[in-house]
Amino acid sequence: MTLDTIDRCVAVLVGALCAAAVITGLAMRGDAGVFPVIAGTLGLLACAGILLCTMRGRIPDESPPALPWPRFLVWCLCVLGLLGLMVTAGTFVALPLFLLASLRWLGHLRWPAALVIALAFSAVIYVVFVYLLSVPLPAGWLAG
Amino acid sequence: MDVLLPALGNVLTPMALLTLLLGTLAGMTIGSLPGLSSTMGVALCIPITFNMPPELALILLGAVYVSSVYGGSVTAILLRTPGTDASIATALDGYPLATAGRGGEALGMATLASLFGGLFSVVVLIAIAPPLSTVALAFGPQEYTVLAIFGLVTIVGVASDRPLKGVLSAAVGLVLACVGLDAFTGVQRFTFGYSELFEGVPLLPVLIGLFSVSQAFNLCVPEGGGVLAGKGQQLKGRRLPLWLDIRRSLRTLLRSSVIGSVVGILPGAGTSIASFISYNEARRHSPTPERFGKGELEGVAASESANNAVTGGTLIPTLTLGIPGNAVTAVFVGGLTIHGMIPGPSLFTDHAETTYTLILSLLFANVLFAVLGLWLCRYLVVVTKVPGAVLGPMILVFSVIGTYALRNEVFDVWLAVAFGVVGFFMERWRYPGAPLVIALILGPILEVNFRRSMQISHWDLSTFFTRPLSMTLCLLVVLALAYPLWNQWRRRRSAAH
Repeated sequence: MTLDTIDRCVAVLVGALCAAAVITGLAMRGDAGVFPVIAGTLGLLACAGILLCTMRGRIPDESPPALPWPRFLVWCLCVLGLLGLMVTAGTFVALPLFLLASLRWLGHLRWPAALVIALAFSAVIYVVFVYLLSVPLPAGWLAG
Repeated sequence: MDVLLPALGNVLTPMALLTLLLGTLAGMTIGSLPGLSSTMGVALCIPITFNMPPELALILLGAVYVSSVYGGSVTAILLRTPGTDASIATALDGYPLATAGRGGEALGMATLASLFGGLFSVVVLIAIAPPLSTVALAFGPQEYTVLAIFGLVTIVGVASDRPLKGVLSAAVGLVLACVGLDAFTGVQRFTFGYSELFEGVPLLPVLIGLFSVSQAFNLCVPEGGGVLAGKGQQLKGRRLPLWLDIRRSLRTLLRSSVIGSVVGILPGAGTSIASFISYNEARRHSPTPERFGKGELEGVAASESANNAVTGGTLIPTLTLGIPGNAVTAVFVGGLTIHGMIPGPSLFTDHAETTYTLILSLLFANVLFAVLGLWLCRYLVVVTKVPGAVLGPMILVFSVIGTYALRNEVFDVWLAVAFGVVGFFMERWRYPGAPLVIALILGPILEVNFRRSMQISHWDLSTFFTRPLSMTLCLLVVLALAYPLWNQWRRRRSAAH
């Protein structure tokens, strides 16, 4: 997909959202809807401008850099795993596992190196946030 | 002078110097970590000061405040993960310099510019604090409305070479700024029943998501990615900027420091507005504006001197009138009150020695972070050589934990990650993220003051053109809009000839 096509899709999608903001704003009580209407209208005008620009084609069209989908999906899974495990199993189970997985599968580090970095970095996080700043990080079933 | 000398004596005791050093180091660390803001740094230090003498307590709080604003520039330049919104403009030119292997020069310029801005604002604070604070009091809702519009126009102009994309990004930020309970009527707007959104879309998770989490994606996803990717993992360039570059930036440093100090005095205006206005002015006055955004040292100098000049500026209304200009000075007021000092004119009469101890300690803190920064930048710059797939997960962990630490809400973490994905694609598709964040900051200021102006004037829009200050700001907005168009027309005409 070229940048012009992407811009058109973005303009249509964001334009629909801005139109929804305008319509909702118009139905709001008192002057609560004034600002959503102004912001939404500004968004609609920008979307219309982008659509016009892409159709006139004054700027040469090009493609965005290729996205390595397998790595992107692995990384997304790692991030989702981190967030899921943080709440259920606890931060200090999730952190080393996330770091280990991403350093091994995306960074292609050897297991021992990945393990050392993962554990050392988790220890730094523990010292900074739990010990020094007393942030109550999610403990998951560790708390039980 | 009879107060300044005893105050200087208070700052130069070994205990005070040690407190200053520790406060500076803590501030630099806090400022550089995503999610840990200057406000949080000062707030965290207040309990530590309970048993301290007032002089030492204020030295610690002052040192943490000024050095945390500087600390944000380190990660903004080296990793494009600004610790605070004050450093977003710094990343515009700092990161391209780091990717070109010139991170040392960028850090050196940021340090010197921060020192210049910080010292300038402290001198302003000592010399002309009371008269300047009365100017700030003359700002009514009309002036704040136009100032917010000026900030938005500026950021749209500087953040992208395609202004329409910048406008769209800012419009989305303004729509997001509408989320939450309406401050005037209590109506729920776009909350979809989520209680976490009643106070609006939280700023820092959005900031961290768009800049830090998306940068973690940028570093991790491409095979062999990294800050210095494609440059053969080589650091080149000098460790410090050349004297020629510093001399070239002197006018920018002075102009940005004035802008930073003036914007700092205005309650609620914030460091990010000062940075972007200064950046825009630097670009407008530069003989090579096309180099801005691609790695121009003067851009780093403009942003950094302005955001550090804000630190002294914000303290002017805080100390002289007792009106905190932003969240961090509000926390500062708390710290002063704990030690029996009520901010206001009495601070300069009843507690003059302690107050001037604080002001002088800001001078020393600025010098100290500059010395530490210049010494450390040669080591810090090595971080750009770390492979992206190793750096990315670490940035993500800091971002996630830092976001959670703000309000202890898992919702904020999901929000940051969602905005991280949005930011990743925005960058690929060349939509600037900075206008969205700045619109989210300026949106509430713009809305509240616009509606106040309308209520005062019974919906008469001419109210913005009848007050001298408001009229002047309106003219600035028109100039900011007209100047790029005029410039473009002039370039086209000369090309045609």
